[in-house]
Amino acid sequence: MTAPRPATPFRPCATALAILSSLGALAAQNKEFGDTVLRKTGGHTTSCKIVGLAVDKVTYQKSGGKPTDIPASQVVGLRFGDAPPEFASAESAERRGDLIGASKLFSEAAKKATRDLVKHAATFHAGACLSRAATKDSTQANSAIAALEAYLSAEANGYFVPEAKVRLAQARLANGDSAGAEAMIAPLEGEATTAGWALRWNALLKATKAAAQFAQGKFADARASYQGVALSVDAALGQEPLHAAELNPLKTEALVMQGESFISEKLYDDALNYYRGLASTNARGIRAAALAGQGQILFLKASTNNDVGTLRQAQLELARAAIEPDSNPTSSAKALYFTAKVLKALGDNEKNGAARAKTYLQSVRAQYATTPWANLARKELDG
Amino acid sequence: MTNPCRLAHLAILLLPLTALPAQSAALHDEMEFVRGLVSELRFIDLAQLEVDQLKKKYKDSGDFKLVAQLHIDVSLQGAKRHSDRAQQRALYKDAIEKSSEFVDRYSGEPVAAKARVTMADACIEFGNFLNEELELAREENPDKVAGLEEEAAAIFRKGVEAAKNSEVAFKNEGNKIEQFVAMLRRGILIREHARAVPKDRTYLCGEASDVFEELILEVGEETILGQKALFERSKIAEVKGELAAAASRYKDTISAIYTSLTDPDAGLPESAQRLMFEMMQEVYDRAATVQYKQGNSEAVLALVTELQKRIKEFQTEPHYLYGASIMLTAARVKAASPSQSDVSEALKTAKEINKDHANDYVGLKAKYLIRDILRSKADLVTGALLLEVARGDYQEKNYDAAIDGFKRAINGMDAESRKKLGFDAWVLIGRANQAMKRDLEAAMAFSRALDEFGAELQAKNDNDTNQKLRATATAAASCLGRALESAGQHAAFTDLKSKIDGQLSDYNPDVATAGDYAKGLQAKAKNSFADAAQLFFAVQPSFPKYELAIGHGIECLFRANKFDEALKKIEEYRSWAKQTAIPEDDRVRRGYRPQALAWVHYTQGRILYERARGKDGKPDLTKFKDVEKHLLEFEATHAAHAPQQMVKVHEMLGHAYLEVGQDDKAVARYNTLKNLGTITPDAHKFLGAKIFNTYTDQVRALETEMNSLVEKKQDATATGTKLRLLRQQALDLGLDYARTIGKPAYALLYNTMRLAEELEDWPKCEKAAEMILKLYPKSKAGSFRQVRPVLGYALLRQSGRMQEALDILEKAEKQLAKGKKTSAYYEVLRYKALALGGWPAMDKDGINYEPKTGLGKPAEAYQIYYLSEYRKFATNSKRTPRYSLPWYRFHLEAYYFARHAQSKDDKFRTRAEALYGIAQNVDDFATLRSLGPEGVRIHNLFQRIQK
Repeated sequence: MTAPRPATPFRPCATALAILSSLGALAAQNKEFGDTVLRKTGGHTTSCKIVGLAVDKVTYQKSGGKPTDIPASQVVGLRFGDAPPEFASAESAERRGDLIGASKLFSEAAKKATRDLVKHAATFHAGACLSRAATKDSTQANSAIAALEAYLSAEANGYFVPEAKVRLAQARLANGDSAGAEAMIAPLEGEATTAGWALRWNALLKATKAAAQFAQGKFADARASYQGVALSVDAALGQEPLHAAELNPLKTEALVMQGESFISEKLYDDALNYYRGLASTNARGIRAAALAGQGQILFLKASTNNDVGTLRQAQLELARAAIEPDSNPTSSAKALYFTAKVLKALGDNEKNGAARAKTYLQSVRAQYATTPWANLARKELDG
Repeated sequence: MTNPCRLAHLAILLLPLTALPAQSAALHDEMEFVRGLVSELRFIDLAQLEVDQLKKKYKDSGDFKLVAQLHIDVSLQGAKRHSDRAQQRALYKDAIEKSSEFVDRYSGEPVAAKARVTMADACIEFGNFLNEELELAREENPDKVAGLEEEAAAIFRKGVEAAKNSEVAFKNEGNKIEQFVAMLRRGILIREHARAVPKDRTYLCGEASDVFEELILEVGEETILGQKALFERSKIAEVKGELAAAASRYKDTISAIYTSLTDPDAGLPESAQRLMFEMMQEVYDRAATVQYKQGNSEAVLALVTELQKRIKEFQTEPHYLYGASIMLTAARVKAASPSQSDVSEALKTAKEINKDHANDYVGLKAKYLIRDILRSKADLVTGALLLEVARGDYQEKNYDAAIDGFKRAINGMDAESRKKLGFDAWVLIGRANQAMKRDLEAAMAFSRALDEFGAELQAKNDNDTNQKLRATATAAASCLGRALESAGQHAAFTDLKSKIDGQLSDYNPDVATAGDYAKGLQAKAKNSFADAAQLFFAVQPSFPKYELAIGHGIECLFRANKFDEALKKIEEYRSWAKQTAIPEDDRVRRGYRPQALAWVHYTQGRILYERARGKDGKPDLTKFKDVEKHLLEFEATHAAHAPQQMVKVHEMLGHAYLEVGQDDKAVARYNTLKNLGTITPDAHKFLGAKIFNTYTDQVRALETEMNSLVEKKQDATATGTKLRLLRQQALDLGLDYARTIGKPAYALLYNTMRLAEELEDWPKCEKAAEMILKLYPKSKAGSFRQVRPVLGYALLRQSGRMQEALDILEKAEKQLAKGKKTSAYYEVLRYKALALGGWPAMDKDGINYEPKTGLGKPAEAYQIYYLSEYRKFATNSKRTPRYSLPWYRFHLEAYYFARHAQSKDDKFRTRAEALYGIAQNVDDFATLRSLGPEGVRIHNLFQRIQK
């Protein structure tokens, strides 16, 4: 059995969103100089008016003052004082992981916004959220594509362009057009370098390309691309440590997906060797993923011939994975999910195995609801 | 945050409570009780039940309206105090609904004014509640916003109407204060309506502003009510989104209140000062919220600092709600900081607020802040704090969340904090898994804690740390044990088991040695005493139960018949214990030592006892003295610590005393055991039989003595009494023994039966005979020749048992008739006759004649007794000399049968007279009377029958 494609964990604006929210992007205010610009350094400029949002710079103006530019790379968050209340609600929904709800609210905000700058930002976020939701619903994917294309058309040199292009590729992938997504990414990789995009976008582009290759069954290519992702993440972390919370899971995912590519090719021994090697690393989050991967493969190998000895080995590896501190809840969810499968497969060989399996699945469903394993757990429980 | 306007205090200060209408004292007391339930005891549900009862009781009374009003108050107070928001919502709705009904029903009466006030208050409270829900919904659940807005609008409209009507009513009454407070309520309700519904906000804010303006003009800015109105008006700007203006007005309000509070000429009473300070805290909270919404983080923190300064200045406490709310706002500011210490502080504050406000609105906001920080800024929070947060989940039994939290904490720890807290975090992961019955994961987590931190912690070598390590190693082993059990001890777990066993040896050698102890117990339970002894002696002195292990080991050697080895170990242990003092604070070991010392002393006693008993049942009487001495020492020293061993000690002493002829002491031990209720079947079998035999020997001796005295015609009274007493003791013991022992010896049962017969204790005699027949049914001698006649006679002597007696005797007769007829056969014939015809007898005092009638068949009895072979047997001169007691008795019984038979058949008259004449003889019974008391008794019976 192949693991479901994980939802892309990358949330480029998570930290900034949280900070902005905490600064009070809660209620709409009808105020000309009510914008805020949050800087990478933690400082922020309040009571200003943002007058320009370009890919390379953000321009703001204080009441009675002159326009001031700051490099886009120094900006980590923006707040629009005159944004409709839906904008703040959307950010809140996005923060708590309700990407579909957030997208709807951003769309509402885009309709109601009176300033173009705000309207375009809301349009972008609406599309980005839908794209990030990684839904397989083609209507939603198409909506995402439409919103992102609308933004790119309106703001060809806009502040959100790098992310918009990445999200557009992701939306195409989600829409089933994996070849199209892969084809779109190649020139973007070049653009990212020449235009000096933040390195995190480069990492995300590579991850999207790898996912597109994976989806097309080009597992060896995908494996190579995922290797590139891991390297890109390391580079991005050096430049943008503030985004560590989003970048680390991306790296974990890239490493896990290399193992998944072996599994998809039914190269279980290769997969096992790969994960074993990975498990010997000291990086905690990665170790958890590697252990969970080993457990998964051992289970897959054993379940074909109900080999109790191998199932027991799987049980041990999965228990190790379940307690290992991870940087991505997906590893824990996966470990618990496969533990449940192992317990079920052990049948009478394990005391109360079936009942205990249920508790593991319930944990996955409740505690790891945002991971793809939650859906599988739900199906197992319902079935 | 929309802070509710708490008008209750204001109303208390400004308004006299509306005088209650006349009511009965009983109702007054009952209502006070209900109010007390709500306000002091917080028993809302109980109060509601009480109100329902009152409503039924006063259904048709003029006081019903008071009870109805009470119902509303209870719901409202309950709503305010309830910790569950769903329940709060239901109670608010109930209060408003009931208020509405009440107002409709009594609209023309004075009581309606009070009800309208209550209703307006209820609408403010519930409206504020809904505004809180709305604020959260706008952030967290946008889908719910429209419905909540609609619901809130309806409530505020209802409240405004109630406030307006009460205002008019109070105005008409000329009650200005109540009129103004009602006006204040109206303004608040309109403004909060504006807050709830954005589309109507502009005109509603204008309307509210007008109300407050008018009120301020009426009462003046300088009054408390005026200041309250100013403050409430300043909130309008916030509602309208004019945050800068709101901030400025809040600042002014704070200044105005502070000025009033510090004005020495104001002369405010303390209660008013308190109220104003509370109001000021509310304004601070609002001001901070507004500044926060503007992104003015420095201003938020400055407000918090200023408030804290003023709290100190006025020597008071932060308000429960506003104090927490403003601190949470400050925490939200700090959460936005890139500084790790600020974010950690924010999380800490949110955590504390969440704990104190578990179910209210502030608590909910705190929960959201914690969630946001953990989601997006966990990397900026210290591992220690993350651990604390996760610990909170663990304590609330949210184990999955706790495990995630502990793992996050481990990731967030730097080298220093990992050193301090890493061990605890892993242990907690273990415990959370253990709590979810995930034993394998738990075992691994415990093991990991030891793996990563064990060696370093062990190097500290302090008691607490060692205790922690021991507990963790034990927990790992115990969890793995359960996992292995579930997995059917599968070999795949072997490596893990070896590792955890190793950790157990390293960190808890006591438990490792405890393994030997446990295995020793198992071997002992399987009677593998030699193996068990070996395991017990492998237990190390560091193990708390070391000395008990020694006790077990020595006992096992004894039970394996290795007496010399056991005695050697006893000496070694005593010597060790003498040299090894136990620290004062080691209560466990101090508790075990006396037990162990008692145990070895006892085992030594058993060894001495077994040696004295000798092999092949040949006791060495010389050794029993030592046994006695040793066991008496044990009794004196250890009886209090060793109640169980004392049972065996009594047994052994009892036996020792019997062996050396100290029967009385043996009996005393036996009785002690019986009195304690601790006598074992073995002790009973052994000691009981021995003592019974001793008793019967003594009975025989006394019987001989008695016969001799009678023969010599000497006074035998004392001997007779002694004999009777001894027979009684022997009989009781015999029966007790027989009851306890499964199958006592035939001889013991037979002797018991005979003792009962001698004592004429017929029920006991019957019991003993029945037992013999049951336990020895095939014993020819027992069942038929000796026992059945006795049983028949025992039944015969119990009233109402004649037919049973006859049945038994007929069976006995049939059996005894076979072969040579013995005296038993003839005795059975006599008993049969007695059963059929009865016999003459006096009462137990020997005064009144009370014949036994038998089965009322004297003619048949006479036939068996006198006209059959029995007469020949009974009157055989060799066996029964003429004019002896048996001879007289024979004639008495025959005479009795004939005398009674004559009533039906006159021919018996002649026979009766003839028999009387034979017995009377020529000396008119002089010979009979000379035969002692029995002769006199028989003579008396002759006389009675004749009469």
